[in-house]
Amino acid sequence: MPDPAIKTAVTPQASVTTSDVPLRADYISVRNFNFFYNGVHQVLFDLNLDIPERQVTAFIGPSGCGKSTLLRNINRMNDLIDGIRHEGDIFIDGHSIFDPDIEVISLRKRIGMVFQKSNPFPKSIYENIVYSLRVAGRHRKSELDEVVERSLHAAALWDEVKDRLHQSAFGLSGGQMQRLCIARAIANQPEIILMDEPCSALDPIATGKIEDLIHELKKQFTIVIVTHNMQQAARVSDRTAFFYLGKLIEYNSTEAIFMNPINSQTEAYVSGRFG
Amino acid sequence: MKRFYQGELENLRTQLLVMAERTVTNISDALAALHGGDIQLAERVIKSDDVIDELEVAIDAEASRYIALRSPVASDVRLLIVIMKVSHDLERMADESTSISKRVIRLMESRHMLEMGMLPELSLQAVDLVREVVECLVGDDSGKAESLPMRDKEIDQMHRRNFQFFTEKVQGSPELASDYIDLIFISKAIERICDHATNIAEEIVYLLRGMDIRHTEKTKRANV
Amino acid sequence: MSSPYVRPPLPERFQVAKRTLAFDRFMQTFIKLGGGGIIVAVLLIFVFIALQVIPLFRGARVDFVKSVPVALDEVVLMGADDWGELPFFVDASGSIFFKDLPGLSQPDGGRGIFQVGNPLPAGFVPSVMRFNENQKQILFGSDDGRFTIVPLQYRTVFPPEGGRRVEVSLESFPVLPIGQPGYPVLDLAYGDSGTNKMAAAVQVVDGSPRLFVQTLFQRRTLLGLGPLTIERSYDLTPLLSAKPVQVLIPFEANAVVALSESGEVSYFFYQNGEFYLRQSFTPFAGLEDTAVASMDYILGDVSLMFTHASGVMRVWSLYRSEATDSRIFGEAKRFPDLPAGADFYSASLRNKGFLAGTGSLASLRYMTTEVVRWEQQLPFTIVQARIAPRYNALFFLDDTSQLHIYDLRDPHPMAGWRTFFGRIRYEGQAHASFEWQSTGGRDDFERKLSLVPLIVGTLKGTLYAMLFAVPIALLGAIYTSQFLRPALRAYIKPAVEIMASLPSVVLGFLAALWLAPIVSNAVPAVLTAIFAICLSAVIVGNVYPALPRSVRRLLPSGYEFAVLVPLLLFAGWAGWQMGNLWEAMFIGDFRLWYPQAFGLSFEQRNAFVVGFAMGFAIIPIIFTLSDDAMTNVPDAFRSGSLALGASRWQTAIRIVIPTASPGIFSALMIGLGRAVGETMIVVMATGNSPVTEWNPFSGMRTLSANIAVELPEAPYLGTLYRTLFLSAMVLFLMTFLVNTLAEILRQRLRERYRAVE
Repeated sequence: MPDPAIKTAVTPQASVTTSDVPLRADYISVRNFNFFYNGVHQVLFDLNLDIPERQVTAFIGPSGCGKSTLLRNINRMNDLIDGIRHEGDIFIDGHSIFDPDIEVISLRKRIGMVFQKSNPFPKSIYENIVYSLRVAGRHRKSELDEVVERSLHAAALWDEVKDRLHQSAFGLSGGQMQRLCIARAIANQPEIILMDEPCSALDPIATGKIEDLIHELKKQFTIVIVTHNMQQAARVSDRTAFFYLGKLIEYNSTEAIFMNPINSQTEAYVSGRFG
Repeated sequence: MKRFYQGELENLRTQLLVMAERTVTNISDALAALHGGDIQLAERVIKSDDVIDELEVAIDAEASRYIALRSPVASDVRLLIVIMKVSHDLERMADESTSISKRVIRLMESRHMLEMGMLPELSLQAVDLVREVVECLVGDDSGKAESLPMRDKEIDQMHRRNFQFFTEKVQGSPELASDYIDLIFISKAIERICDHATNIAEEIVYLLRGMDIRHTEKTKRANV
Repeated sequence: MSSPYVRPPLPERFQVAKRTLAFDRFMQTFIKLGGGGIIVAVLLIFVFIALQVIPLFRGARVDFVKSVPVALDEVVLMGADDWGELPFFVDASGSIFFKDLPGLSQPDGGRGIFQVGNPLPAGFVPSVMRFNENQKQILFGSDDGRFTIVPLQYRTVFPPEGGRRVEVSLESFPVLPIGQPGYPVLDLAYGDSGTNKMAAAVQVVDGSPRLFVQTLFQRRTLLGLGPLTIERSYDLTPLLSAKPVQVLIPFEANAVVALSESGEVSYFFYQNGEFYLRQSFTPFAGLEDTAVASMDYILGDVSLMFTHASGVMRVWSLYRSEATDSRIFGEAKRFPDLPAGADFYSASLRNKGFLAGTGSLASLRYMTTEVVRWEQQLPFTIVQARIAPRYNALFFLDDTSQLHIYDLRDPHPMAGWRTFFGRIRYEGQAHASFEWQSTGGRDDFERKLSLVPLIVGTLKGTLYAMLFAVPIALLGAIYTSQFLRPALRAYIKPAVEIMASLPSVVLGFLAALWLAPIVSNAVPAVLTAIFAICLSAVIVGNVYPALPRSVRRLLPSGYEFAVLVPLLLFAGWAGWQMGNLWEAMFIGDFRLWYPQAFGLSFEQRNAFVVGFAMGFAIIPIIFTLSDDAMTNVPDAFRSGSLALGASRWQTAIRIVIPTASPGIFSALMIGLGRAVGETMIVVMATGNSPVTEWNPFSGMRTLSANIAVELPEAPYLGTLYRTLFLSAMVLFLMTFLVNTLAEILRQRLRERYRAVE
């Protein structure tokens, strides 16, 4: 076995900071987190991990390992499910998201989310992007226009759709739709973007574009991505967490996980010899 | 489409080219030291070998990281393999030039007048070959790279004649035996450098055409 | 193909059983047939209905049957029995001849031309003869100021040798004087309503025509009828402004209509033993020459048909004038002109049709609809004409005493676009209107077959039902599908669906006998309760989010109804009480106040109640279908919206409803279809009054209820029967149109809100 503390040749790319405040290494902090469906069926076991600010953190693991559940807990999307229960806590920037004084809607405004299946609304491209503004009661045309252009530029979609902003979003290709969903998620300038297998339904070209986009977006956002595609995790993430049966098996820099994992289950999983 | 990590591969290639340039410099410096009797130059070659060694280590690490994280395929994977092989060849060539330099220093210290046989010509050919290989590497010139292994025959010939010549000298003047043996080794080192250069040429062809021309008719050498 | 290589048989494991293939083929065909069959069945229904309806729109068919010579020099009067088998002809001397014509297509009867005694006493020289077709009476006026009536008594006998024969006998009637004795009677009219008997005559006394009327009296004794005596005589000439030429008496014998030489018509009304000139009018006042060429009653004696010498034809009908609050004549119908004034005239005894013409032109027209049913130049000069009493033949007598018999087939004379869809001014009405009144108490009743009140009623019932059902069903569906805990939804939805299985007759029964009295007793209370419930829901919705989070946390999301429902019940109760209170304080009794305030009628069984009851019938359908539609909106949309920081309400309104809109739209359309076709509730709870108004507190009659109510009474293949089929077709087309439009719209919506696959 090689030395686990292998020296890596390239350090993770330093994020472009826009302020002098140092980036938090525990921007999202999961502490002793347990999660139950139907009150008793435990799916997450005593999770502890810190997700650094403005980096890409990937959650990998076989299906049913709880990675999506954890992701959906970060913006409390699981609240919609009957009979859920949790123990422990999740902090964002030091504040518990389960604090009774936190309005879940405002929490979700801070956290953009991109889903496995691209889910543009049956509206125009423009209306899709400004949706988060409209539900917040912001309707000023100049502001909306600006947000649309900025978000589409950020999602590398502007040049492709600028001439058909007011056409249905369903006219886009799968990859374009998913980038539209990303543009929509960042329209309200959240702090965090959660991505739940964003490329699982896309072809490699579209996947590549999304990955490039993620690479760009991490300069501005803290990104958590769940993926089944290990190459993708390796390509886009700075840190990788490997989950198995609701437990966090190994959490380390992506290079460490993919080149020299400490845990043999991690090794087996990333090398495809799992099970 | 250019992916965001494409730059890493280009960096790697650039590093390889830097290493190649340094290696060529070392070789030509070592041979210049041999023919000009320049000890300082020889010492400099020995010193700069460390840099080349470090480069090889860095290239290896980066290439394996790239393989692990970027799952390269097709020309990317050939490039990575070639980079690793070429960096190894270059490192060996640099080693040979270091050993030449060491022997040059020793010869200079023994201060004997020696006959050089075909060494000057061999050196010229070798430097020329190495430069051309590096040019092929820089310029992605597979056509020229393909033609280079043929020149190795000539170089082998020269080395064999040197070997005979210096062997006779060793038998003719035993007091100079150790110096001539050094020259034999130098000739051998040059010949090794050219072998590595030939390997690089073959690897360039593999990189650019995806075709392995080693041990084929095209490159069959006279002495093999 | 000719290769010597023989393929080894396919191994069994690769073979497909013939049965499988055959069954597959069979099922394919079967399913195709089934699908095609449905389309064919719908088409056949349509074709069947159309076949029932088409005859309504056919004109009259008149075909020549035969000509029969009448061996008389001069025929003054012609008439026929109820069967048209024994027409009579009266010559100038007053002799009545009968012609045996058993059946139109059969050879002449063996009796030929025969006479049944001479009814006129000696010395009675007839100066005028009139046939009172309704009563089968021939009126004779003499040249010396007397008159008599010969009632024809027709009867059918079945002789022992077989077949059937119409026999006739003449009844006796006394010869009574009229007017000034010794002066010839120019025109004569007689009316007998059973209680009133009245005769009128125009008589020329010393060169100037006078109008005399006399009432008759017949005592009814234990031994039968007593002798007919003259009760009182009147000379109405002083009330006339011009010389009378013609007089008519309606069969009710309560009025006299006199026509003067100058074309002025005087309408005298008999009341309390006196005649009053109620109205004088000139039918052709607009023309240069106002003289009237002919004046005759149309069946029912309510309408007068006038022709002018120029051929202009007008009908004046009695109606109740708002100005005078009495029944007077007004111009009601205009017909296409004849070439000249009518020379002959015959009113149908079956309907409001009449036959008139001049020269050789005969024209069969229908009064109600102002249409010409049939018109033709006949190859002879017509002197007399008659519509057979059963409206199945036309008799024409030419100037050579030939009787020409024509077969008339016009089963639906009053049917037509105007009847069903146009405004018509019916007899007795001041204005044209849409009316449905298919049957009346008398034979001469003018049928009103406008489908418009029924269509309006259908739309009205549907409208009020939808007004009630759509908000409740849709909001309910939004709540259960988007806000309620799924665990509870599993109970609510089937419960509402059970509502759909309530038989509509039960709903109608409840609505008519339980709900209608309650609602009509407390309309303000009901309205206030509804308002209070809506208002309190809005208030709670606005107050709740403002409550401190600590209070709101007590109620898990999805269980809000636990607080809301009691609150709403309380609001409903409070609204009810308040409604009763303000009704008592401000308007007294709503049922009396409403007609006064709005001039609209208030009925206990009204559209409001039907809206409730029918709303209940369609709420489950709309609810359950739109709930399904909203539940089926991909979760990705909901999650996407919520993840963007939208509230549940924003998600429901902005994402779920637009995406589910095709399904919701279908739900509404199916609900609408149910409401349009709903029958039992409407039959029971509306009062079935075919009114053309949108007043929520009056009843209505829908197309479907009308069919249900009237079809059992409609004679097979009669006009009403076919009209009901027409209304079925209208219903069919309405739903077809609505469904087609809905489907087009739905497809567009679906294209627009199609979920990404």
